[in-house]
Order: sequence, then structure tokens, then C-alpha cells
Amino acid sequence: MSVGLSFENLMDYTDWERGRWEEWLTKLGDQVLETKTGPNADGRFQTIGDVVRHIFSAEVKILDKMKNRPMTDVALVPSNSVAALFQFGKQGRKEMREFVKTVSAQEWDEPQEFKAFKMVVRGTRRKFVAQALLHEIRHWAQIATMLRLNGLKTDFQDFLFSPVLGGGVEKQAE
Amino acid sequence: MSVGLSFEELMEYTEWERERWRDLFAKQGDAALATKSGQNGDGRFDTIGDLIRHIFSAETRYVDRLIGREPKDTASISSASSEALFQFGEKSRARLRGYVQALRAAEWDAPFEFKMLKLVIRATPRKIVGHVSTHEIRHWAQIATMMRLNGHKVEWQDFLLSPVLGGGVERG
Repeated sequence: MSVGLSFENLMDYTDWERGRWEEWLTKLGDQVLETKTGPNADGRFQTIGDVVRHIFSAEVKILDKMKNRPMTDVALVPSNSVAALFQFGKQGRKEMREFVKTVSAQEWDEPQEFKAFKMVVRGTRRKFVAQALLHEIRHWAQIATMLRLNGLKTDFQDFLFSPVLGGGVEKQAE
Repeated sequence: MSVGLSFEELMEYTEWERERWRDLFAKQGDAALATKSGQNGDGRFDTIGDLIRHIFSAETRYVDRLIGREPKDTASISSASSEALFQFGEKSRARLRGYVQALRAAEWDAPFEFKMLKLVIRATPRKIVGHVSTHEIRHWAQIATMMRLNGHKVEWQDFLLSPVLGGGVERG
């Protein structure tokens, strides 16, 4: 493959994001998870906690599909507990890392098909894993916006400021 | 590199996103660009249009830095005109694509340093181009949320629904 970001890079980045969110949400307390997602939504996620659970659920459900096993009942994970949510996230991520290591080069681009809601979804393992990781990046950014609008400002979570691929940021000497 | 997404694939994805946004603003009119980004911001982006200009500006300015040019001042580009914004985006993307295609393998992981605001930033070209890609993905997602909160209907823009890497979604 030509130059880009490996799934390891993207998992390292989202793990770094998760670590920052877990630390910050723990400081704020479980009540912050009750922050509303606001009007005009499609009804699936009432609170920030619901969106966090959705991030981790998507990763696990994609693994369920690719491993041909019954779907995990994610409704059992409480969306009002920071500790429970991030514990669920860690389990899913551990399994995703193992999955990425075990898929052979040939298997990554083999066609796959599954049903989700009332849809038939076709793609390769590479596309589904990419979906899980980019889906997470998108939703953390949206959570940052929703919390900002509710008066809770987060630090920058850009890839550039993460430890992935080295480098660093320093304040310039005055 | 181990399995993942190439910068070409990430550019294809964000170009697909851009086209969907361009269509939406063409249908809704430039007035939609004046949608407010909401309270408690850091003062840099008052409207959705400002945020879109920021996406394309970042792409332009990082390429400027990587090729040793003074970062372009993008303030003169109207954030109230979708056509002006997306044309600017086309130019910035053409420059990024040219940079990605021209860089030799050994150069991707060479250390690079630049100043931005009051910061000294050290990163490789690979990290900076990775940042440009994810920066755009993050901001489009935030724009979708702000548009949704202001009553605009925005379709899903997930990677899974994009044409990148083939596949597709159909009603079953």
C-alpha cells in the first residue's frame, strides 16, 4: 500500500483520544453523560453517554459481523456511567487490535456482506475496520462540539497533538 | 506500511464529503453558510462558512509550510459564498495531492519543524498530512452537528457509505 495511516496508527490515535475523554469525563462526573444531544436528531441518541456507547458499540458490532457471531447486546452497557462505558470500550479495542493482527493480507480485501437495520451492506474487511475508526474520530469531534455548546470546553484533540508518529509541541520561548 | 488507509484513499473520502456538502449548500443557498457555530467558541469561527474556510485554509497552509513557503493569508476568501469556498478547496486539494504524489519514500518520515501561533511543532510530513486528513474529517462532522442543531437536514457521511474501497449499501 502507498503511504498513509495504518490501522495501528488510527487505533493509537483513537486510544489517545479515549484516554483524554475518560480522564476528563471522570473529573466532571457521570452527570456530564446526561448532557442532551440537542434538537433535530434521529432519536437514537438522547445524551452524550448514548453517543459514547454508540462509538464503542459500532466497533464491537463490526467485529460481531466479521466474526460471524451473534450481535452483542450493547443495551446492557449503561450509558450513564463513565467507568462502565470506557471499560466496554477497552474490551472492544483489545479485540479489534487482535483482529487486525490476525487477518491475512489476502483476507483484507475479500468481499463481505451483512444485514444491518433494513440495509444490505457490502464491503471488505479493510473498509469495515476503516469505518469503525473514522466513525469514532467523527463522533468524538461531535461530542466536543455538543459539550462546548453546553459550556464545557475540551482541549484540542487533533492528530497533530497526539503522540502518534512522534514529534511534539512546545510553547515558543518569549 | 501495514494495512490501513493510504493518503490517496483518505483524500478520496474527504473529496466525496466535500461534494456532498457542496451539493447541500448549492441547494440550500449561501444563507446556510451564515449558520452560527454557537456559543463558547474560541472566537475564530463565527459561522459554518468560517469553519469551512478553516478546513481548506489548514490544508493550504500546511502544504505551504511543508514546501518552505510562507503560509498563505486566506482571510480574503469569502466565507459567505459556497462557490468561492469550494473553489478554494479544489485548489488546496490539488496542491496537497501534488505534494503527496511528489514526495519520495525516504522523505515521509524525515523530521520537520515549524512555528504556528506561539507554538513550535515538530512532526514528520506523514504526521502532518495525516493531521490534515483527520482535521477535515473532524470538522465536517462538527459542521453536521451544528447544521442539525439549527434544523438543517444532513445526510450520513460515514466512510462506509462512500465509494472508497468499493462495496455499497442497499435497502434489504
